[in-house]
This record gives sequence, structure tokens and C-alpha cells, in this order.
Amino acid sequence: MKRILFVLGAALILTACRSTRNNYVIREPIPKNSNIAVLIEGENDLKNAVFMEFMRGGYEVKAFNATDFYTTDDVLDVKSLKKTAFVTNLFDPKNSQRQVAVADKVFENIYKLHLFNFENLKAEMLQSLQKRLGIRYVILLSLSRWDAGYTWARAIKLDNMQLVFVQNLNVSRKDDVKSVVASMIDIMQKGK
Amino acid sequence: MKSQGLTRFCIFFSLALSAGTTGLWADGTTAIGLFSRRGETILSKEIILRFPIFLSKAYTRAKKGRVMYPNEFARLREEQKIENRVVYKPEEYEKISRLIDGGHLVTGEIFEYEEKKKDEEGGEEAVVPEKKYVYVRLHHYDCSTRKLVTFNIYSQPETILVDMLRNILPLEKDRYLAKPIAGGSKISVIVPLEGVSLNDFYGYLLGHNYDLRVLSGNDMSVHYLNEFEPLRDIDSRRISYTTPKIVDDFSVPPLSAAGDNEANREDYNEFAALWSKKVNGFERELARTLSGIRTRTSADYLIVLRPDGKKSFARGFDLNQGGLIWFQDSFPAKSSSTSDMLEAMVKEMQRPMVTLPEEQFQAIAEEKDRMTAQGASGGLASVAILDFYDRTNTVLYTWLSSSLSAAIDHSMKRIFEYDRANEKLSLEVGGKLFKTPADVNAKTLKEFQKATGADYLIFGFYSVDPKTGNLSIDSKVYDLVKQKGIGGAITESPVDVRLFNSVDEISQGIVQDIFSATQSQTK
Repeated sequence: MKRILFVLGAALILTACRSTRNNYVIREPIPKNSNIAVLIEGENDLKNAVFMEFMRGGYEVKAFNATDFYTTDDVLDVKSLKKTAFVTNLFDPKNSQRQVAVADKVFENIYKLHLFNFENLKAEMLQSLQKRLGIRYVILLSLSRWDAGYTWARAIKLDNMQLVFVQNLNVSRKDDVKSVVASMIDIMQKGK
Repeated sequence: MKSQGLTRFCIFFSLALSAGTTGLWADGTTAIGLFSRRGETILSKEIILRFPIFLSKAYTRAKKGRVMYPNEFARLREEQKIENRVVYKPEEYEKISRLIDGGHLVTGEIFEYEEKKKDEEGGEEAVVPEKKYVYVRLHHYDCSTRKLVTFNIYSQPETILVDMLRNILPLEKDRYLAKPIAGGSKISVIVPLEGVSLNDFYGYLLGHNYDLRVLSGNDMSVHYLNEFEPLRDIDSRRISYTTPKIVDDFSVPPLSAAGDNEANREDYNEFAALWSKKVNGFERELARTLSGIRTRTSADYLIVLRPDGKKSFARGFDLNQGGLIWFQDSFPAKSSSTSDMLEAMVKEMQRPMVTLPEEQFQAIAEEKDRMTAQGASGGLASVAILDFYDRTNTVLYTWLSSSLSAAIDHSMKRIFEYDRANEKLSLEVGGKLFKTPADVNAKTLKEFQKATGADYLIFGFYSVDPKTGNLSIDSKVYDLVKQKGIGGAITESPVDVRLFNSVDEISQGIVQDIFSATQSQTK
């Protein structure tokens, strides 16, 4: 039920957000020649199109999330790893069957720690890109709902995981990947 | 964002849930229950004696309702045959809720360094830090929310009482914020929002000048609302916010004899180790994880938000200290929509708690120091109890004269920590100064105080009602420092076993009178 509500909510967001063509906040410009990794959902031809725009924009695009013929979703669904089927709360004070339980307490605590650790480990993994590949910024880009009329992007400085750029962009029939990504790059480089 | 904030943040769930509410002040009765301690130290006695007085004083000033003293709560609890505990079982809290009209119950645990501690070889004394600290776990149960808040307070003996007040006083109904998390703060956020709406929310926070260090949204994965529910209850080093559970069963179950073989034992040991780490060591493990997040992001705070109508909650952690500093379960949102909830959450994150002005805490601290300096035995009040005057005009009740004072002393000691002034000296001086009731005046009281060093004087008269044959006991309480009467009561009782109940009533009345007198001194 929750998931249905979530999807419903998300769908309503998307519809309502169309009213605004282009919303963004940028904290600092992402200069040309910066080493970046672009995380993007989609097929390899789409990824290539996006990478080309960033390369044309003067960025040093590091091969991450695009080093083989498979997409992340094909080989490893990270989301499913995280979803540890914690569907119901383990402890229910109104239900005597769910009250006791050393084991429940252990698992409940493990779950809580897991949730915090998951976020911590993601940050650790992303920051390892900086050490291994010299990547300074990670750009997250979603073009998967192009058909629904929107795209979004987010840029994170890996030094301290600082959010430096967020953008929601409504797309129209006239738009293509090239023009959309080019406009994002333009904002990133101008920094305003 | 350029189009301004969450008003454009366009999330509208179809559920028409009503908006959350904010309870600013916790009204009603706050009862004080058991404070456990490791030993009969002066400090622990002082905390147990003074905390109710100063809490009552502070609550009166902050208009936070009445404080029910430990003796009154103990009497109600005993009448209902509820055990005396620091933390109760859920069903016991339900009973207690009825006793205190859905108010609050405050209990505690006091831990001190032991004065002398032998090392394992039994020889020399183990090293005890030169500067001793005291650690108090203060538990506050709110009968209306059925939530237990635990403050872990580590302080010096001189400041622990005021620190306890500082912690508990700002507590609101289902809300606590140790310090506002204002714009400009470096924060990491974990929130169940999908890409576009997360961007909008981040844009809103950036618009309020927050320095965001990304956790949620640093990859393409999305949290779901239900995944956050277990985070509603959190134990942390500084503050815990939990629903009371059956606590007796939180120990490792024994390994069944039937399954006692090597393989099972290995599994069992593994489980026991896990239990030890994840149950007993949860706060430590959480602090370690929070420290890791701090290292990676340099953020000062981690905010966990679950925007979900009436089920919404927010939790905030201080990443530098590794503990919970903000919890809130209801919000003054315009509607239950996710956008309104998030907007209300951000506002609440910045709204300071209402507490007493600093000068009032200083005044309480000074008053506490003054009380500590007064009286014998490290600050406990010194009370002289004289024999009661026999006005029965019959030899039948002569024995009651000293028995009543002894019974009151005994009864008072069960509910009130004090030092009885030297009995022999008090009786001797009292016998000379107060030969008749008319002899009790400011001058004789001053003389008595000078001779005995007592802070309070208790005595009275008893007579027999000729119509009913009942004993009428007229008790008096005097403040010897101010040389004036501060209370007293007339109690009537048949001369049988019920007399003991009357003695208890008199004792409770006297203790209340002394408490009230000490409060009025600093109002």
C-alpha cells in the first residue's frame, strides 16, 4: 500500500512539476577540465550521448558506471540489496506475540544500524572514486522519465559530499538529449 | 529553487489527513518516582531530596503544571499495588497513567564513582579520577504519548541538579530539540523522496542557506516510507526516545540442554556476541556509524525525516557528539501533504525550545548551593522533633507524648531525607524554652535554633474529643531560620491501629510544608 501511495505521490509530483520549466540551485560552478563521473540510468547509447555532451563541454569524464556492456540494473539491482523486507515493524506493543524477543530486539537494532550504515557506505564508496580515479564531482542524471516530460540532475562534490547543484527540468517535444544536457552544463559552468 | 520553495513543491497525496499538532508545553501532573543509586552517598541523597523541590520550583515558574512529590506518588502506587521501579512495564505505565491523570512520571538512576575501589589483586586502591563526575539517567514517561524519554546526564556533583533541570525543562509533548539547527549548518539528510521531489526539497534547504552534505540521493536508490518506521524508537548516548517494552526479557536466552552440542554452541556463542553488540552496544555502534558519516561529509548534523501525515516524525543527530538531539512526532503543518510536512519540519528544526531564562537557572543554582551549605551532613535539612504535649488530662495517654514524635520521625524518614537534630539536646532545650504553647515565639525559636543548630522544629499537642473519644492531634512546623510557623494540621483518629495511618498523614503534611517553605524562599 505504501509503495502504491509513494508511486501515486510521485506521479502527482511529476504532473504538478510541469508547470515550471526549469528550476535549479547552484552553490558553486563546476569548472571545465574538472574530473567528473556521470551516474545515469539508461541504455548505453543514451549514456554515450550524455557523455559526449559533457566531453564537449570540456570535462574529463571518467569511465564509471559505463565500463562494460551491461547496465547496473542488468547485473545487480542495488535497490533490492537494500530492501531487507522490513515490511512491518518488529515490535508491536499491542500484540503480545510481538512483544518479547531478544531476537527481535537484535534484528531491530541491526536494521536501524543497517540503514545508517548503508548511507555511510554509499558515501564511502563514492569517495573512493576520488582516490582511485581522481574524480572531483559526481553528476547524477535521470533521463528515464523523458516520456513523462521531465528530467533531473544533481552534482555532488566528493571532497565532503557537498551538494553543489540541483536541477529539475521539464522537457518538451522540441527538446533532445543534446539540448537538455547542454543547458545543464551551461548552468554548471556559469554557476548562476 | 528559483521558483521559491516548497509552495511549488507540488506533492499532493490524495489522503486528506489532518495536519499534525504541536504540543508546546507538557501540562498536568508530573509525578516523581524512584531514583535508584549505587550507595547511600551524600550526593545521591541530595539529588533525591532536592530534585523534586527544584523541579517543582522550575515547573511553577515555567507554568508546566504541578509536581507530585515522591511520597504522594509512592502512596498512590502502593494503594494500587504497583511495584517500585525506575522503568516500568507497559501495562504498569497504563495503571500509573490513571493514578496521575494522564500526566508524566519522572524516575532516575544515579551512578557515582565509588569512594574506594580495590583492583583485581585486592591490594591497592584503583585509580579514581581526581575530579569526580556523576552520571544520571533521567527517565520521563509521558502518559499521553506513551513515550519514554531518557536523558543521559554526565556532570559534576556541584552542577548535576541544575543540569538535570536544564535537560528536562524544555521537553515538550513529543518534541525535543537540544539546540536549533539553523540555516548555515552543515547537514546530511535521510528522507524517503524520489529524484525530482528530493531535488525540490534540497533546493528548499539550500534556499534556507543550509550547507547540504548528500546522503539521500547520492545514488539512484530511493527509500520508502515504511523503511523508516523502525527509526521512530532510538537509543543514543545522549537522549533516547522509545516506547516502553518488556525489559525483563532483554537478556541472552540460555542455550537449551537438548541442543547442547558443539555446532549449536558455536551458533549460540555467535548469537550471544551479536546480542551483546547490537542490544547492549547499540548506542556505541550507532555513535560509531554517526562518526563515520561525520568523517566522510564533515556535516554537523544528520537529519532523518519521515513525512507521512499523522505518522510523520523527525530525528536529528549531533554528528560531533554522536547522539540524538532532536525528536518530534507531530508538526504544525498546513496540511498533511508531504510538502507541507517537510516545510513544517524544517521550521520546527529551527524553533528553539522554550525554557527558563538563564538567570533563573543561576538563581536555582545559587539556592541549591545555599541549601547545601546549610544544615548538617552535607546539606540535608536538620529537623528537631519534640515530644508532643499531652492535653488529655488523663494518664491513659501519657505514653503517646514521646511515641507520637518517634512515630512521626519514623514515618517521615520513609519519604523525606533529613537529619534529626540531636534528640537529647533538643528535648532538653525545648523543655526549658517551650513550657506552654504561649512560649513559642520568634525569640524562643531563635534561641532554640542557636542551641540546637536545627533548621526546622516539629511538635504539637494531642487531646481527646469528649464526644467521640477520638484523639485529636494538632501538629506544628516551624522554620527556625525565619523564626516563624510554616505549617501544621489537626488530625483526628480513633486510638487503635488507625492511629498509624494518621501519623503517616501528619508526616506527609509536614514534609509538604517543609517543601513549600523551601520553595517560597527562592520564588
